[in-house]
Amino acid sequence: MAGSMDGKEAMEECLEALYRLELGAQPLTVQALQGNADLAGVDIGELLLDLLASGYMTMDGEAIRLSKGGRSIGRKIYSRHELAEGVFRLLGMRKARAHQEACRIEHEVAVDAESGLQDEQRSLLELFSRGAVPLTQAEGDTEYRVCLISGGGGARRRLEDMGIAPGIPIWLRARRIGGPVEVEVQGSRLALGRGIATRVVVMPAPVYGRQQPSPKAVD
Amino acid sequence: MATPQFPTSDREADYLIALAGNANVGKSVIFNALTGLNQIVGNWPGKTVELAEGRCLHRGRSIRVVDLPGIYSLSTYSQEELVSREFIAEAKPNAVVNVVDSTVLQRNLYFTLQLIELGAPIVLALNLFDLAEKSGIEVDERRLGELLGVPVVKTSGVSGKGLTELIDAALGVAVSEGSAAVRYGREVEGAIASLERSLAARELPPSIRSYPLRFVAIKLLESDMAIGEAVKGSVAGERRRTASGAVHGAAAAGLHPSPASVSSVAPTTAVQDPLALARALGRRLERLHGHPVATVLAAERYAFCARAVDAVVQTNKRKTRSTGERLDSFLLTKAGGWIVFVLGMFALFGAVYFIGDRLSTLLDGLFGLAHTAYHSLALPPWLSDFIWQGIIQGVVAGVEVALPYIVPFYLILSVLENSGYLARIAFLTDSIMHRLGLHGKAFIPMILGVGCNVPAVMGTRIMEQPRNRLIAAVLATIVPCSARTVVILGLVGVFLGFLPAVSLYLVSLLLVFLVGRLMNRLLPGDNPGLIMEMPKLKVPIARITVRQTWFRVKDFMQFAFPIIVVGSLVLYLLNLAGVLGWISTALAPFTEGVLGLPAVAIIVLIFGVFRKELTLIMFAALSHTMLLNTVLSPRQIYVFALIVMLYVPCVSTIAVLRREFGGKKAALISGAEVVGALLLGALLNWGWQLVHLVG
Repeated sequence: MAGSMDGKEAMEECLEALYRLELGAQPLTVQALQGNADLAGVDIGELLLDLLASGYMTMDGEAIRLSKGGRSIGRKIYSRHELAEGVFRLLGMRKARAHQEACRIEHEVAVDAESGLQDEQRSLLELFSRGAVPLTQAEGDTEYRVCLISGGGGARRRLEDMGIAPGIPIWLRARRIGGPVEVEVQGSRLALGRGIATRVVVMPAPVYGRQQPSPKAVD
Repeated sequence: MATPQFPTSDREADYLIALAGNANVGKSVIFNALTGLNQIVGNWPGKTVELAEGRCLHRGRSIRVVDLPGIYSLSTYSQEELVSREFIAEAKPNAVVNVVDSTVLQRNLYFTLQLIELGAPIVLALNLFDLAEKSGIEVDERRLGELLGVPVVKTSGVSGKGLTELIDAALGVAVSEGSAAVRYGREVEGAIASLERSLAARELPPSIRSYPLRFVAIKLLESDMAIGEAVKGSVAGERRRTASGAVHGAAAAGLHPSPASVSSVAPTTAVQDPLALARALGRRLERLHGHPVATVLAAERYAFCARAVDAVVQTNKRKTRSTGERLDSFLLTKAGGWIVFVLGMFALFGAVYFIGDRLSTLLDGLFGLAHTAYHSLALPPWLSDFIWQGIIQGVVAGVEVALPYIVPFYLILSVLENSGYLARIAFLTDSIMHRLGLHGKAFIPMILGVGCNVPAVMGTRIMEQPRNRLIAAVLATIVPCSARTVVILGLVGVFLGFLPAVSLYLVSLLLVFLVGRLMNRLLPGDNPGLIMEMPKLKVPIARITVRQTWFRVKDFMQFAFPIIVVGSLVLYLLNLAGVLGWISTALAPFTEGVLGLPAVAIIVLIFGVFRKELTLIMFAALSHTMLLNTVLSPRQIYVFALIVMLYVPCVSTIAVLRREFGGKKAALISGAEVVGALLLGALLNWGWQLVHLVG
């Protein structure tokens, strides 16, 4: 994916990598950057020249130092990455894939504090912190309630038509590792492919009952 | 299925009743009980794609009954939903009988609410009520009727209980105006009312004039594509009229708001553009509830259903799990599921070939007798030959070879299907099918393909998207059907042994996998993923199984037999004209040089397009011996069988591909398979000879 990076993305990726090295108290060197998989296929030399020219870093022999501006961009991209990767992981993505997807999404302008995507990620994270899980990670034969179905389109409508809508009690009845799940909802059994099931976020029924979501509905 | 075919209006019948409801609720059983018409009853959704129609006599009255497809909603995400919606709104049945499964009442009522939104004159059939009572569920149908504002009748399609009362109620409801009893939450109702006012103030195009305003308003909120387009048409039309200074006058022009100014939703919305208003109201509901507006409406409906079920259903829960449930959870475990699946498939195909072989031999003997009798007729030789070889032999081949295998196959398939086991197979194979860009449901056409590719291609209708249908259809045509099995077993199995025969199946399995991966990679679009209702496991009813098998066999014969007969006639004439001999000579360099086969093989292959199962017999006839191993080397036997197995399914399959996907795709698929099979045959031939040389 590094091949498809444009100049700005490559710079951001590099600053993020440097920031990670700083966080890990590791030496910031050209070799460390060259060994970074996220920067594979990028001309590191040219990239460093660009970064130097933009004043995001300074170099003392082999050692690199981030400037204040450089560090702030690195930190921003890093936190976006962690947020996105966390959400993807919680949604049941494998680690490598989640990391890759997060790398892609962290540069997109859409991921900003006021954007819808960020909103959905934040509300997802909030739900997860209160004990919600993707359906694929629910425990068997325990009552859950449907919180939300992430992502849009026809699949969500079909799930709703077949009985999986917010607030509805749901039980996981069978699960195949890496495969589909079978759920019981409103008295019928449904088979859901893994991709679909990870998009259904559910919460244990006792917790759901205690804290009703949708705080905005009070007015 | 692009243009819905509505049954033609019929002056003689004084009533039209439509049956509507979810899949797997026993709707088709009721339809059959009412009309006595042969009709498929099955367990997976979307099978009754065409509208089935029948007639029933009730207290001296002739009533037309139309069976709508089994669906879960009235949005336009599938053709079935669109067809049902249009039928109810435009054909205006006197009554819509909404068949619901009493054991899954809450989920079923969701569809009922949408029918009520549509303003349909509904009678609710609480079907399977006997089953519900057996499992401790008591429904107070009178109270439910009051809550919904529609008549409710308890029915049991299988035993026929309650059907007379159902039709009585349907005749009674025919004059009513639908129900006004169902209302949702305050905010949602407010939004619907504003939109209704806005819609009432404008002239709607004829395409949606037959829908109630409430329905149009709700669909606009849900951003339903079809309704949105229609309403947009009305907006444009009116703008044109105002621009030309005609009918609707300056008021509308002056007050026409720009989309930006609608952000505050004023109560006086009558003159606002309904689309912009719907968007604004939708945004407000989304902010209020924190969900997309379609989800908000779904939740409102389910909330109503839950309240209704609370009020009318008494459940005396049995805590013990039924045998069916225990069996079910066993079938879905990894080990248990696969063991049962593999054993089941072996048993299935073992039984099919055992029964098929016996039947085939039996019929063979009978036709042999018939042939002798035929030759004793004093017909002129040219006419005798023409009738026998040109016409009768085509029919004989179909009856003798195809039917003995296809009838037991369909019988067993129907048992698997009506017991609910097919859905478990779909669940089991979902992960594997995902690698091919499909999901578990696609395994069902694959199994069908083992019997015959024609129903397999038709069976791909259960896939939701055109892309997945196409992949599934192509893969289904690679699956060796019973005709090809005759060749594989009869040629490779007999002369080379069991293992080489099995290796051919493995080759086709590998090809299914490779082609699936390739198409998944090349075709644009996503795999939508599996969403499937798992019907309860049950013992299939013999009457329904037999009827369904008969229906399918009839379908197969009607479709395939004319093609087979015409095909053999054409070939007979070509042969008579000497064209085949010419072809065999002309293509000999290719057949002999590239494929390493005798020159006559190419004629057999051309014949095989019509009747693959006959390639073996024909080869024998052309070589003047049944012991093909005396005229063919093992290499030639294997290469020939490989090509027969892989090259273009057969003329019936091409015809069904054309019907389902259009001529261009059918030609492309067939062409690719011919080229692929010949290429593989040539490679195998060269490879084999090379190994021989080196070894």
